[in-house]
Amino acid sequence: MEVLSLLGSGFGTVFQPLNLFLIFLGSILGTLFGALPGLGPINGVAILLPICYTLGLPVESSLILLAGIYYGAEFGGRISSILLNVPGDAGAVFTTLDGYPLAQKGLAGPALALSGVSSFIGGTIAIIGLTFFAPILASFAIDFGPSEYFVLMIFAFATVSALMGASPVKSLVGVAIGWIIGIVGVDSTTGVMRFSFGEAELYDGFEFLTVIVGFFAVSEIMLMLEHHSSENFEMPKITRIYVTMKEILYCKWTILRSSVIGFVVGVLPGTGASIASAVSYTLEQKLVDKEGTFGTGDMRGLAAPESANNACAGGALIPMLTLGVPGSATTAVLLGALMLYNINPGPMLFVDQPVLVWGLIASMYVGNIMLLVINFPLVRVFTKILQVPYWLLVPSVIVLAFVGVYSVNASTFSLGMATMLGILGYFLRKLHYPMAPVILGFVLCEIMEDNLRRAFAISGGEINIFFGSAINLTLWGMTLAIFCVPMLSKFIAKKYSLGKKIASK
Amino acid sequence: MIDRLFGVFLLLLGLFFIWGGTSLEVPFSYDPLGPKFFPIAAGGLLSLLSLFVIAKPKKIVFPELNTIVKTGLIVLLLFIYQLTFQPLGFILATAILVFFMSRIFKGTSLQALGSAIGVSVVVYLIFGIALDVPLPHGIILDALLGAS
Repeated sequence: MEVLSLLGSGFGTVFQPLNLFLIFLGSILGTLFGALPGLGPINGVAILLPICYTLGLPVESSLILLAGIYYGAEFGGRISSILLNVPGDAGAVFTTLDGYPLAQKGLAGPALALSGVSSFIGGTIAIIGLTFFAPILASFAIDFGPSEYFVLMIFAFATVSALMGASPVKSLVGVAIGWIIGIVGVDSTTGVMRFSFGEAELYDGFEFLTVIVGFFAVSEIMLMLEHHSSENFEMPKITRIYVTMKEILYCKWTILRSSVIGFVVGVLPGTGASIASAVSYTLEQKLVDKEGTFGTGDMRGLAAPESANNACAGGALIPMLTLGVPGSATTAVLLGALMLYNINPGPMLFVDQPVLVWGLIASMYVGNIMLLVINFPLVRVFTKILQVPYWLLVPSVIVLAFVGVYSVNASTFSLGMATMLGILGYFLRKLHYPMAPVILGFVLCEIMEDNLRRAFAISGGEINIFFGSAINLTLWGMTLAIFCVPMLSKFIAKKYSLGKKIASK
Repeated sequence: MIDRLFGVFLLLLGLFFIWGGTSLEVPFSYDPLGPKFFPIAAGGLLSLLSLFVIAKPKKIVFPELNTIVKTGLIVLLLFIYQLTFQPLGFILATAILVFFMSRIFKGTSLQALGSAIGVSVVVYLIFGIALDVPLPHGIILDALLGAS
């Protein structure tokens, strides 16, 4: 088993004291960012990335920390969902459906513990899947040439627009806006300046971190004015903080099924935790909810979205690591982080960067265990932190984010750029344009254009190259198929009246 | 209405990129497509899609006037932060930003003052001292240091 020996070498990387510490730090910070309403994993990564960079951490250590924040946030998102009925991020909406009723029944502690265990199982199943599935996909993807790459990205953008948000038109607008932001700056093949308006700061295009902070941190705080701070919420009492074996066994099939679903949904490019938890919750409701207790505090209704959520986070890393095509907005940000370190994502990653890839995968096994262990004793601490008032939280977040932006090249120009992108992001989000396509478009823009032009250079301008190989034809077929999914899911939603349930929330 | 207006903005942005793409001057290119194609394609896609948005706008619920004014104030504060960052120096500019931001998010004057001092000093210690990011001191401090 070659995989096992590679994984073993990955554990060798992980068990260095620095990396162990970073996993621990990532887990704690991730849980925090996930738990605080309005601050998702993306803001966490945006704040921590410049710190990694200025500290001069090696790339595998940075990625271990940033990935820890990513799956830690999926873990933390459940806390405010269960205790306050406020989902910490989009993926946690379904956790509120049964989690909050459980807390009201006085079972907040067991609910937190059970969701912790489900998250752990979901996460671990996904990492095992990642370990064995990713190398296979990577070895297959080595045959990809420029034209295959280009069609693959078309497929990725098709999934994003078909599956994200309410309207495919608005998702595609997001993709186009991402491209437009990505185009600005010098063209790498000819040296021609594009849309930089003679502004020296724009010669290299928009700084990755500036875009992330603008779109996520700045627009988020503008939107936070409309939320209510959790300091005014009645915090349910937490008595028993453990969950019994009987309760876990009661949910075992739900957890296993939802983990597998979450993993598969995560692997699809462009889908995210919100879709994974929606699918698993609806399916479990159909399968096991004979008495109609889902939505009134059923343990299985809590276990389903939580295991799916975390499994999805692991699954989403597969397309990102093997193909260089992220499966969600957060993985797009992780991909951008890799590019900051001048690492070209794509199938060669497994060959060129074994320390990075296997160190990351091994770190996730350890991170999941750490999350489970720290979550039991620290549950009371995390609930205290939830009560941090907005008047302290919001200014701290914006200052941390802006210092990071400033530190990239010590210029205040980026601060103004981040504010302007924040205004654009505010309007996009307010008008229901999903943000994941924008960030995907921005991160993939250069790779996509390069591959398109390279493919045409190879074929001498013939368009046939995009329809020539079997891989291309398969990808085109999948792209067509993906457009049938929304129609199908609309049909299913109508049939099971899923829409009503979400609408009433 | 606002949805349609934003659609018009997108249309203009798309048209601008088509125009900008076609008027790029390319001395020579190694590939048949060159640097013009992608901006034109992205702009074309955007303007095409914006027509759908303009044709069928959705009703958007915007917050009450009070909240909109506060949102505007946040933007204003952030621009002021950018302008004062160098001249006033990191600590003073940050303290001002945090104080008013805190007030907007319903902190009392005392709470806002505490946050302003706490956040600016702690972040300066972490980034300026521990991580060695060259944060500006500002002209006041520079003048004092220069005089001594």
